[in-house]
Amino acid sequence: MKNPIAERIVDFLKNYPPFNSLNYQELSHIASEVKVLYLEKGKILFQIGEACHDSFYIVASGAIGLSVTSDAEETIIDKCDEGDILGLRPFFAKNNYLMTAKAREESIVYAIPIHIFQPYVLSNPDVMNFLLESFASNTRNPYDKEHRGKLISENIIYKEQQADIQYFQSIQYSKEPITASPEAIVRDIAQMMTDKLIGSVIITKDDFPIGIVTDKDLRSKIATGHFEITTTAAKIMTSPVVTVPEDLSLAEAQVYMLKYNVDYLCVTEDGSDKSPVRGIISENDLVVAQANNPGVLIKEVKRAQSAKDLKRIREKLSELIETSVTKDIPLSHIMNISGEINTAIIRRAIDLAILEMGSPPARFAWLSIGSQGRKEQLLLTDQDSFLVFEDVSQDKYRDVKDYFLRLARRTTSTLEKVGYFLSPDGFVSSNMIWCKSLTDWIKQYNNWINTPGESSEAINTIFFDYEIAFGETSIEEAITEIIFKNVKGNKLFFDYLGNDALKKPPPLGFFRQFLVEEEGENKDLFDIKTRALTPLIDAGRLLVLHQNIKGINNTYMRFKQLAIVDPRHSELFLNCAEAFLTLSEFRTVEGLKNDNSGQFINLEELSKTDKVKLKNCFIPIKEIQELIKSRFKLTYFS
Amino acid sequence: MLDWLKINKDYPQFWKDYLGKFENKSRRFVAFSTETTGLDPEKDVLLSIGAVAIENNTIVVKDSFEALIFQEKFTPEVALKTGVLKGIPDEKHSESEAIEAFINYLGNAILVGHRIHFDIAMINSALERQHCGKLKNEALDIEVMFKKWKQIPEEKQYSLDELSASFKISKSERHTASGDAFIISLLFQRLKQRLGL
Repeated sequence: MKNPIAERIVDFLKNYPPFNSLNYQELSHIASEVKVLYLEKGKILFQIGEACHDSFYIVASGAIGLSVTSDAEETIIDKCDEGDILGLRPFFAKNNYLMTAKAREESIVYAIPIHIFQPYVLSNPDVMNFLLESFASNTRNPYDKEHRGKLISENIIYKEQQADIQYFQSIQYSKEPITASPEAIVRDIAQMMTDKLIGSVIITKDDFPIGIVTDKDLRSKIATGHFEITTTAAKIMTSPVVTVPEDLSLAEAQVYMLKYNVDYLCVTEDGSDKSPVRGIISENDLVVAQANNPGVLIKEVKRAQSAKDLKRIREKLSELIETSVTKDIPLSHIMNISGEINTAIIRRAIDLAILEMGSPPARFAWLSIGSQGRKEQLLLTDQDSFLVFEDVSQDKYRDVKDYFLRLARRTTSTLEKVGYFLSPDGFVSSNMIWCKSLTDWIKQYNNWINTPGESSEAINTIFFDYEIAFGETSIEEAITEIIFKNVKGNKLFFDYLGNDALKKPPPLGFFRQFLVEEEGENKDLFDIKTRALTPLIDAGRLLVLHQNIKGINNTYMRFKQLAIVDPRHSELFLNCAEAFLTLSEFRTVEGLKNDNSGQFINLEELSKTDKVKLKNCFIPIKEIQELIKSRFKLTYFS
Repeated sequence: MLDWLKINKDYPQFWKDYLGKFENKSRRFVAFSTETTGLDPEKDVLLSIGAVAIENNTIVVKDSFEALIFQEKFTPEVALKTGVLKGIPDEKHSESEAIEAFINYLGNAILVGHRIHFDIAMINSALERQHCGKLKNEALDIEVMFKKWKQIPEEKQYSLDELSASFKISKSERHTASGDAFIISLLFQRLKQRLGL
């Protein structure tokens, strides 16, 4: 009989591997046996140690996190989104699940019975291969993005790399170590190590490890001539070998290596040297396992050769941010780290442009402005920047400007490929208005500050949040100086900025209800950026300029500093700082969930407590706006 | 007592079977929706019934039901409104066949619908034409559940589109009874958990 609901499921399945290798009839049969599961956020689909289910799963909507547990700490190793399959273990193994699958957001999952699907696996090599690869690599879709064309084993390392920033994670190591007997000739061992590109060989007797021969032993004992190259392994091996149990965490492995001063650990079945060898952990494995910490990411940025490399690192950064947010690491820390890595990416993009174009004809500075200038850019939002080059003689000016415009164009296009779309208002260095000499910039700032609103271009407040990304710091200092010299006691300027800060649409209506977008594609969504974050950012900027506080560009830090400088209102400023973090977190979570800028929040999805939390953030916004009104006596003018 | 027995005797066999299924309480929910010629249960008739079962808060695709009903009373306006075409008669069933199949499928399950009283009224008038009694199943309405969860006053109304939008459920294949039944089942899964039923 016809089953229209099954047809609907077929329409979904046919878009994703391995189902796209099957024909309509086969899919209809599978779809008619599907069960549709609904998981609330945080609900567990299956758990480590649980007996295998009779179905495997495909995510229809939402996201399921896969995690393993090591040292009582849960570590997310993968995230399955729409179309990803998971829970394949029952196809290949009879033992229990080795991972926990937990809904990271509200999700719908289709359960496909194994016994229904099995015949198609056996009769269809494409399906079989896909499942095998998915299962082997832990990644749900081996044809995904960067993994394309790589070997399975490489995939494993890649996936493990992105695992986590923290130490308590398991290490990926060689599960098939090369072994040799104590009677083996050293020359043969050295040859084997060279052929297999490995740094050590475990010497075993009756399967038990009795020693290890490493590069170091060959260097210090053979190359020095202390032993003949024809001697046996038993003579030169380091013995006993340090043995450790399986499922060792990164932290433990490091401790063992330091304690015994060795570069290799031998993994055995029960952790003693009286049990069979199970693998070998090298120092390099530890480095690989840590590859996702921020320092390593920055190093990787510095080595990146193309926009593609940078894009991959930026994706890792997003994962780092996401894990950090879910681990409740303070947002101000995350912002700092992410700001540094973002800056490193911009710097590298400029580097790459210079490498191609040859060295610049004059000294210059590349300044990030807007959210990146404030180091508040967690999500991939737009890029804003400007470029200042030192004054050059009139006859050279055109060539110099031309060089920097081309440099800027290359750089911004690299960054675009990484995922930072161009500023919709054209605030980028590649725009000829925003790429000019220091003298021109000084004129520009003078105009903005001394005759606000008069010139055709209004003040662009984001030009007051800048951070040097590349080049001469003295140029940045010159600009800071010119700004603070001009704004001091400049009533007209503060009036203008103050009014601008108050002009933002309010977050709440008369009845304390949220004001949501009334039309357009974001209808009924709450614009957290314009209605809540921007007012705080504007207020912070205005007040630090007024208080003559230099060099602090981050909104959170600005309010913290204001609380120190202006103790009368310190409580309000601290509340603003906190509110800013809370609001940023809402936005970040929303942005990560929907893979966008997070500007619009769906209130329907918030719990009651979250709504209250959000509303509480609006209290300091209102108060700080009142403060601005009275401090700059704006009621008389506006 | 005897009267009741007498009436019972006149019922068609499938209805007697149906009545016999209510000894035990069911753990099976059936989300269903109907397509009709209009909104008057007295005058209008069924064009289709779509349904899908939910057990252990899992939608069981295999346990679904659809019947397109061949109707004489059919106008182009209805076709435009519902998207149900008069279509090929041999894919369709007579009302008596359809209603019997539906009752057999339904059993003692708990009914779930959107503005379910109307759907039940439509089924009941079809049953009456087959000389049967009225549906005995318990019934839950997702619109009522939604308002209860959100603590929204009774009088406010939410269309199926509005409900699915608020849960970000895509509305493809709307305006078939089965498509609606599936969306109702998805909404029911969520609301059931939210309300802790």
